[in-house]
Amino acid sequence: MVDMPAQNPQRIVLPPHRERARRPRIVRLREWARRNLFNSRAGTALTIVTAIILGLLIYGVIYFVFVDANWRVITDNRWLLFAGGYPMDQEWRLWFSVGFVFLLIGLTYGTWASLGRRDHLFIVLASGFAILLLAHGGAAIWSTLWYLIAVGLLYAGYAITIRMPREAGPGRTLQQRSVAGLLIAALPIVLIVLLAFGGARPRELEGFVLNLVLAPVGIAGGLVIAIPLALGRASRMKAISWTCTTYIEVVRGAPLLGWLFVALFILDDVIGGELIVRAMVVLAVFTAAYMAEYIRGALQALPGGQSEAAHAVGLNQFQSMQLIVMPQALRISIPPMVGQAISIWKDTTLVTVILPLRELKGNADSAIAQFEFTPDRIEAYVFVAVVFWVVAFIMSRISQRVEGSLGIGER
Amino acid sequence: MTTETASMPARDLESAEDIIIAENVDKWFGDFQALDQISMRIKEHEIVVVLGPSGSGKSTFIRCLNRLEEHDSGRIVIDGIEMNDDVRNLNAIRSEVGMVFQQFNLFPHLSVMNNITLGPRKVRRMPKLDADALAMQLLERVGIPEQAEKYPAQLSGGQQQRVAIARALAMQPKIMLFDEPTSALDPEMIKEVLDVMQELARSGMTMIVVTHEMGFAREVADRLMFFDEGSLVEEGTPQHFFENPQEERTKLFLSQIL
Amino acid sequence: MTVAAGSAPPPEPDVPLIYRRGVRRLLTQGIYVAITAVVIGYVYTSLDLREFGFGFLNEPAAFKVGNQWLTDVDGVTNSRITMYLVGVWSSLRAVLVAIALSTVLGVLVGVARLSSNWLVAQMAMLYVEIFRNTPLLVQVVLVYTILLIGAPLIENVVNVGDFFFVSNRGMAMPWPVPDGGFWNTPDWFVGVWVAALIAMAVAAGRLRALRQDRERETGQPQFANRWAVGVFAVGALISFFVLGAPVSMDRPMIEGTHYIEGMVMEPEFTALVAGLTLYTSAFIAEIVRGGIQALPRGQTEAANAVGLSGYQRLTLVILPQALRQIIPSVTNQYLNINKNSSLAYAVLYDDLFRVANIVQNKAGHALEMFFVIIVTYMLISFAISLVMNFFNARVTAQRI
Repeated sequence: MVDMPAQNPQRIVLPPHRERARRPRIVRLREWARRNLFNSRAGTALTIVTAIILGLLIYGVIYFVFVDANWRVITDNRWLLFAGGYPMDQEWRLWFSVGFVFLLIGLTYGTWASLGRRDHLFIVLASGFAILLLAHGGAAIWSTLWYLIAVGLLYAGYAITIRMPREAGPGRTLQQRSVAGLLIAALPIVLIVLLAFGGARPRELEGFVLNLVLAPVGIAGGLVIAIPLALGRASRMKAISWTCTTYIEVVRGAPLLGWLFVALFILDDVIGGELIVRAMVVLAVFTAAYMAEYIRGALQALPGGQSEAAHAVGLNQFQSMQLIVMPQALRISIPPMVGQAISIWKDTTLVTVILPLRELKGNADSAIAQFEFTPDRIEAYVFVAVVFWVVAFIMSRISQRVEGSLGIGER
Repeated sequence: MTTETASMPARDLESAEDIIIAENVDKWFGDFQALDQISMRIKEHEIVVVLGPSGSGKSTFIRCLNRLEEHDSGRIVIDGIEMNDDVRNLNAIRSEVGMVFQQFNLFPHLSVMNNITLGPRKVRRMPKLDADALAMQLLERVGIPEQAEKYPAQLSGGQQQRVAIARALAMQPKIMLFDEPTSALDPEMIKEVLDVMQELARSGMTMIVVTHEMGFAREVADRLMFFDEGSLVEEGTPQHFFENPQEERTKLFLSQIL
Repeated sequence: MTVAAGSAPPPEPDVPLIYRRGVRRLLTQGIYVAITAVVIGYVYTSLDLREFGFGFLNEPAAFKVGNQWLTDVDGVTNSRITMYLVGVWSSLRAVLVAIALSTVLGVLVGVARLSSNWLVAQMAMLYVEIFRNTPLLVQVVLVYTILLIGAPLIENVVNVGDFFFVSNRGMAMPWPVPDGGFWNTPDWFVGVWVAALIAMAVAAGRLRALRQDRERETGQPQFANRWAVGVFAVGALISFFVLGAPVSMDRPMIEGTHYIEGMVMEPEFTALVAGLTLYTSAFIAEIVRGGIQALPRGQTEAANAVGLSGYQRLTLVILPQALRQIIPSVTNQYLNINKNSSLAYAVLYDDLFRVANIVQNKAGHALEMFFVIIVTYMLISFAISLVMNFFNARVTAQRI
């Protein structure tokens, strides 16, 4: 708090940037353009060339999207792309899961971050995109309604949590713990809803739904394996650190496709079970090796004084890890972990390549295998790319916001 | 060998038991000998200030006293507990000995309150309410009860170090080790930490303090020890040290630092 | 020194074995090893290892491998391992080209993201956001599809002066091949010229270093780069004619529905390399940007103060320093390119992974094939790391 001397309002001289802000908008715009677009002769040339390229690109995209493309390959096949072989009479299970996940997103944002104008805009745009896809055919109204309810849940969850006080205290702790608990429980809950009590058989998970199931399983499973793995590699006991290092290096040595090859041809003899379960195991095992390395990096980045202080207050090795070292290491490793999560999200497409599992890209292949849609291959793949991009973008957005509010990097 | 300053209540060091016994302690870091045949006795309630140039082994020594470093040979006995390979002893010693670090080493992800109550709750199995009450009492003792719900990063260096002292006290240790507690502080914050330490000394805590604060040493210490190149070169009362040091190395060091 | 008087120390107690830390540690490891052994034993027994062995790799292949370059193996008389090695060579080609292209593009985009020109910076950001957040598989397949659908059929091939041909069978271009030349030398004779070229490149490098030294000593400009390039060019030209022009350009031609001669960039190869390049360059761009932003601001200001131009500032001051931080991360990206090249499978480019799959289809032996695959990838990764560590050592040799 700086005490400002009382002054006559007219005589206040603002700092330069505030002074500039007082000028008319058009002047400011012109100044901005001169600084950022036309700052030199070369800069002007660069701007013009870039603008021409950009114009051509935009024209090309608009022409493709609105004139050239035949989007019926998507709209006619939207169930195939969305859920494929999932039993249609069990559709409510899918929508229940979507609503649940949307609610969780709302709760998470309300608890640790807040929705900005850009976020609202993004939700509206993404919803428009989704409804555009859903609003076709007989059940269009129902699908649209389901979707709108899900978005409503997102905002409801947000509205409830954003009003709660953010100051530290028992209430805040309880709120954080319950949302975190829900987040942890979300995956089992969704899997139960999708598969148990008369739901689909695992092999009936297809299309976009399969991606949406595989990625969280890979991420969660990977994290569960990665933590002991990272600790093991950092361990002083030779036998443990050596085997953990071997695991990490061998898994990282071969591409994911190679490991899916293992799931297909070799794991059958070892663990058996449905192929999709084997693929999940491989995905988790694969992710774990990468995550373990990020956690190890965070462990090394942590000042040694932390575990010393933990020992000095009498905590044993395990307590020190559980209460002091791991919470901080996990927090430091959030940014690369989110990168890994996005990477796994994209890599779920690979199950289509050598396994007979049909996720979104695989069912897009099925869609264009139909005779009437064979010319529309580009449309199908562009659609797949856009869908993956949207989800990856949401993931990185959420993590940025949550990172910001957790104060990562500010120690 | 008792020295009593006016502010100190009479502490009967003559009849007190030896609470720390070190005999011929050696410590090597690879080829570098950090401690060379250190032997000493420290009585209960005694305040010992350890002096020495950097790299003299003084920090290493007090880190050996709660097993942050393992000594290679010799014996260390803390309050009758042998410092050895026995896993039970290690835990027992650590809850008898509190430590305050140069860099505070507070847990940045925990509030001040939780920093202090962590040890009592997890190690001593104290109920949360009792631990919280204890923590508040300690925070009042170090003079910052209003900071209980803040996080370490929101506090000044001096406040952080006072929290660190409260955290160590929460385990109700018999011995407190201070490893250059004021070296990382801005000058204006040193006094607030030294005041807390002085109050602690008056209350009868056994303290071993590595520091360069000569005022503190002169005023509070019962005994001074001078380390150089891994060995204990000279020890004695503050009077002895500041008026009549015997060893050449001690004289040289004191002439540089005073 | 007097030791404080006091009670004698208590006698040293005996520690029961189970409370000793060393014993505990040994015990923990023992239990761990036992569990690991059980798991490995279970895996081992559940695998069918009766026919384990690598002999099947020496049997005749009896399948074709496409996308060959500089090799001509039909798979009839050749062994499976030969076909696999052809696949390895195809992988290596794609990986090397993708590494080179993604580095160039990545640095460009990364620098563009920090451009003072708003439009350029935004374009670069758009590029990164698009290609980083879409699956590589979809990118590769999309490029492949566009090449197949978008490019003309070979009947309507685009012919650029009989030198370049573009169609949906790929792009054909002239390529140097050994030639008898004036004196009708055998094909291997071209090696002599290549050796001469290498010798001259080394000599030109020496000359450049010498001239740079002299420039540093005298302060007079010595045009080290121009001299080096000039000497090399003249030497190359002279040796070419002295050795009787042992190389000639082979122009591509079309025979029926196929290209013959020349070099053909097939759509499979192009799609794979383009996908790898687009995807990886987006990551490299972010690494480059991060590396530059991590530099202290004073560096740019100092460079401005000495009056360097924007380009000089970048190449002489900023990038060389940023390289320290950039190289380790970029090495990781190169390793990713290596592993991601297995996506060739999706566009039917016959890389090592696809050939391995074909062999497995024909002969079984999945476990052995997987060993072969992982060892190959690890060897390539190892080679990449080795080269990059060498670069890294050179960059970090000069301590700042």
